[in-house]
Amino acid sequence: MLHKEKWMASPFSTTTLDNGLTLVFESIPRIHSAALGFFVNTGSRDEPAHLCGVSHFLEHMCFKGTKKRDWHQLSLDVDDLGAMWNAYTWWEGTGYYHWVQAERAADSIEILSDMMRSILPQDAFDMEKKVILEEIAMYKDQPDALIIDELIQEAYTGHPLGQSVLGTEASVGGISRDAMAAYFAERYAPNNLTFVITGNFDQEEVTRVVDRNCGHWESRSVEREQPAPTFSPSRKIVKREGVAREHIAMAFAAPCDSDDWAATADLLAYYLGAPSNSRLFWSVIQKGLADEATADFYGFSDTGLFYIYASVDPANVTEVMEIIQTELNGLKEEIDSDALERARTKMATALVTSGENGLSRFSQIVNRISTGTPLMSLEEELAEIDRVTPDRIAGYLDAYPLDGDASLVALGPMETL
Amino acid sequence: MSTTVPERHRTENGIELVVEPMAGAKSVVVAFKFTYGAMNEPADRLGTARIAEDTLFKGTPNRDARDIYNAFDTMGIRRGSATSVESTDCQAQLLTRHFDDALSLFAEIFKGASFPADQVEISKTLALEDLKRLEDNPIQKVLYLAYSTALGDPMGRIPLGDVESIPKITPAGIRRFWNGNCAPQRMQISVAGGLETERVVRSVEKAFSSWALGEDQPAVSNEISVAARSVHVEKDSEQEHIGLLFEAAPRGHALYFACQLAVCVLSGSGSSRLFTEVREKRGLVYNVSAFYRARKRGGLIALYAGTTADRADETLQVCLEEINRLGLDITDSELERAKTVLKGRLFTTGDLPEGRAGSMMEDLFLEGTVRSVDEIARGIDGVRIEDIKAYLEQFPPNPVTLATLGPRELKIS
Repeated sequence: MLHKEKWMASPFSTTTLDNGLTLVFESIPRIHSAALGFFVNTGSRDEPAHLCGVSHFLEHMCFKGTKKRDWHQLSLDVDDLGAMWNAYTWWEGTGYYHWVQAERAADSIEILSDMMRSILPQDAFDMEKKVILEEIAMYKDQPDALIIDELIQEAYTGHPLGQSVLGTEASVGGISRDAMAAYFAERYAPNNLTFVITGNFDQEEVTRVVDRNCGHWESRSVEREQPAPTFSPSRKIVKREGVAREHIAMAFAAPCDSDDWAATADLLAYYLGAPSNSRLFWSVIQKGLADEATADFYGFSDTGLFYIYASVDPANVTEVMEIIQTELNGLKEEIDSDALERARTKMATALVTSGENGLSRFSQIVNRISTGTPLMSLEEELAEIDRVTPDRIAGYLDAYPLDGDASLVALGPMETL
Repeated sequence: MSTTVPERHRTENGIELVVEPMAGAKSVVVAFKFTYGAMNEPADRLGTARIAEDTLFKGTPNRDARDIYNAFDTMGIRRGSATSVESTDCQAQLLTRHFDDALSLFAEIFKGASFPADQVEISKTLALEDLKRLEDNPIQKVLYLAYSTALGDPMGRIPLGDVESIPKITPAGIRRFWNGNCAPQRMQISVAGGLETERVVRSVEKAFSSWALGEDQPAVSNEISVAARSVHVEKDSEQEHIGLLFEAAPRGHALYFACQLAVCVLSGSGSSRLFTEVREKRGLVYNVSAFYRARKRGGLIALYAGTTADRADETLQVCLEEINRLGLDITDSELERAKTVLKGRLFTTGDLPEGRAGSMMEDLFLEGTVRSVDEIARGIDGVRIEDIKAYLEQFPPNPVTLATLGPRELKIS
């Protein structure tokens, strides 16, 4: 039995099965494919400290065998769909998707549902542990890929949000199959999952197929009871052999993703540090001082970060840090309204074009669900960006100042900054 | 999946244009390709093409760098550009209503770029910064090492240039390079998205028809051949980074689709052989993949694997075994599955303006013919097991160039 409820008035449609599994639909006219999959409301912040890295490890294990299929059969069946596929784990959740031609959606749903009930075979568990350890080693050789995870560990030290997504050699090495199985059984309960589909599909048919494959899963009580994280200003300089650039990441406290201020934080970060034609682009990159200097807003479910990253030659670090400081201070004095308008136009165009791409919309929707942010149509998202004025930015900077103490992580050849 | 057929057009001043309309699309992607790149640089001024590409957008007689960037941003255009060995590329994605204004801005820049001296200096500094950044990107670096070792000069050039050359580059040298090469008859344009073909042709004619023909130059293209070589760069890294390179069928070859399917059986899906043998069965790596890269007169297959040093010998050995085994025992079901995988990718990305604009541009540049999505699908469907065998006889994965970056030097035994 299904009962329907409208989440909100929008082209989104949602349905919730009796066992609590929610389905989200967004149709995109014109295209012939569908991007579909599961969002699991479990990420690194949901892990007991001694199982650090288990969500990500578990994501790998969902490809490793079910009651119906061993790992090899799973990979053969996915390839027989002609699906483009992947999975990803972050602080707030885990996502699995297939991008397939519309006529293969039902088969795709059957396989993905099967994967969500992995039997975690012990031999595959032992083998996959080696793969994860290689993944950890790989990211150590790419300091820019790792640094955001390290910064979040510093900014929210002592809080579960400050746990590493990948985990460490030691923590991953210490995870047992049984401990993973217990975590899995609780966290992958249907009431903790959302099925998302975007693109071209028949909603009734999809609902029937999901119900057939997942309707018998038993719901469980699943909690994420955590106090809101407190942002800790901090400074961690790590000298790393073999790294050529000084990679500097810094962050300030920012609102959570569902906050009214989130769109302002987003556009302000774009104005300050979009990869091209932003404040930092002209004052740092186009002065030849760094090969990258960017700003971003990271909204979580209960907090957020205003994030700045730079990759700098050690000789230029002092100057670049001073310029970034000056730019941050300058935001309070004046916002160039023409430049803000351009940033807005660019952001809006990116949103419209991504609205034609099923996979982009899938990721955007999953991200919103992961932070408990109400789902919006493209038009509503555009309207939200439109509401950000220089006055509103001034209000934001009063509420979330960018001239105070930051949390900072630097990786590279330098011992001090 | 786009069901329309690309249409070609040639302007009076020699611009080659291909258009594929996508009814209902809100955006349009326009890709420009100039048929010259790093291989056309003076040998002692490596990096010239990329610095020219970077400073192209930094000034015209009427606009300075900021004016140009602002003009693009005012239209919300997502823009990118890149330099490769054989070509220089610019691409823009925009809402259809800005198409004419965007084209006229690009035309102003291509016709009249002034390459201001101060901007060239900044671009040189940034080129040196990018070279240093490459040290922190070992996957890219080991693949560059493989290309330069295998193909030599000029076809193995790294578009970033090198530390000896970049300081010697002058604004005059950049202008000479650009003006000597840039001309309408050496430009190709590919457009896909929510505009009708006739409308696109009219707009292109309007924006570019006043552009005078450049000097005629013989079209230069170089053959490529991979030598049995190896190179090692010592690095105190966590992993040993391994790059392999060998020859493959060029685009347009009768066995080109057989080659694509062979690569897909080897890598590129969850059930492919490298992923199965190296990662799933042995747990040797997180990242292993092989991919096809075309040059105008040849094809290449590159392979990357990253693993910790004490497992590097076994990783290399298994990769080589898989490369060599391919010709011997490919099965019907593997071939059919690879066809499904390639067509799945083709049809999903075939809905996207950026996917089609890029694919048509590759066709146009590398083969001089442009295929519709349906034609590509037919090409994939037409491959039989015998074709894969014929392909591997004609293009055996040998000789191989090996590049390693990390704590240990490896050898092919």
